[in-house]
Amino acid sequence: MSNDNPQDDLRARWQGQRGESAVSLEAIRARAAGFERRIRTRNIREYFAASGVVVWLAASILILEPVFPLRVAFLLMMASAVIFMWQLHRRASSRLAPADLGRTACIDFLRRELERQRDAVRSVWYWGILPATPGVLLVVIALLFAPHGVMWSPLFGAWFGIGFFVIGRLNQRAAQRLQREIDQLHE
Amino acid sequence: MGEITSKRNALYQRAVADCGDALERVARAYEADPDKRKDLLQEIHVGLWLSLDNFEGRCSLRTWVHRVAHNIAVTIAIRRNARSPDLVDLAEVEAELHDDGQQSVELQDALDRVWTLIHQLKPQDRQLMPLYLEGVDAASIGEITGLSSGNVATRIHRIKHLLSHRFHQGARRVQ
Repeated sequence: MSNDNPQDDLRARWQGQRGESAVSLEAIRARAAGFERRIRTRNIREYFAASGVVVWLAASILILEPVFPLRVAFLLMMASAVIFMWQLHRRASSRLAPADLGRTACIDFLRRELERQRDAVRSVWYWGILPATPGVLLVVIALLFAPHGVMWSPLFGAWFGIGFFVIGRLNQRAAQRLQREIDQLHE
Repeated sequence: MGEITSKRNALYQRAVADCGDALERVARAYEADPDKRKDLLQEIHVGLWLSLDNFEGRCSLRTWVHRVAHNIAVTIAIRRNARSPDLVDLAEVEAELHDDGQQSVELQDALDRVWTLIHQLKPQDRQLMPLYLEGVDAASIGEITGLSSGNVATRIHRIKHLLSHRFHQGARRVQ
C-alpha cells in the first residue's frame, strides 16, 4: 500500500525501520553504575598524576638541594600542578544526566554546551598557563646562577615559552571556532 | 525512594514502548559507525532512565524523550569533538540543488540518501530532519528544538523541497 504523496511513503519507510539493539533495565543500571566507577577511577588517576609531579619536585628539592631560587621555583611549580589538576577536575563533566536534560530545548542545550566548552578553552591561559608562569620564570632566572646555566636558561625558557604559546594559540583558535558555531545558532 | 524508582521504571518502559525505535534512529543520526552508535544508544537510554525522575508531565512523554535523546547525542558529539567544519545546513543544501529535473529512485535508495544527508547536516538541522520524518508535528518540533514556529515552518518547507527534488521516488516505489 503506498500513499499518494511520495514523501509520505518515505516517512512511513523511515518510521518502519526497526531497532536492532534492545536495552534492558539491568543493562542500564549496570551502565549507570559503570559511569560512577569511571568517574571515581578518573579522579583517582588525576590525584595520582598531581601527587606524582609534587613528589618528583619535592624529591628534586631534597636530593639535588638546588640553590634557594630554584627551590622556590620548584615549590611554585608544585603549586601550579595542583591548581591545574584541580581546575581540570572542576571543569570536567561528572554528571551523566543533568537535571534539566528533558526540560531544556535542544537549541538552548546545544548553546550552553558550546559556551561551556568555549569558556574552558578560552580561559586555559588563566587556569593552565598563568599559574605555571612564575615557577618557570624563576627557574629561568635561577639557572643563570647555576653551573652551565647561561646555556640552559635560555633553552629552558624557550622550550616553555614556545610550548605555552602553541597551547594558547590552539585553544584560542578552538574558542573562535566554537564562537562561530554559537553565532550560527538561530533562534 | 523505591516509589520514585518504580515510577521511573514504569515511565521508562512506556517511553521505550512508544519511542524505542525512534531512539535508535536518533543515535544513527549522530553516529554512522555501528559500534559507536550502539554505545551512544546505551548512553541515551541511561540518560533517559535517569532523567525521568524529573519528568513532571508538563510536556508529553514523547517530547521529553526526543529532547533527552537529542541533548545527550549532541553533547557526546561535542565532547568527541566530532564537529566538522564541512557540516552544512539545509539552506546550503537547498541552494546547491540543480534544476535538472527530479531524480526517480527506489524508496530504499531514497532512505539511504536521506541518512547520508543527515550525517552531513549541522546539529540544528540534524535534529529537525529526523523529527520531521518521525511524523512529529511542527508545534512539537518547536517545543523540542526551541526553534520559533516560523523557523520550524521554513526548515520543514526546505526539507520537503529537498525530499521532493533529490529523493523523489514516485515512479519506482518499492511496496
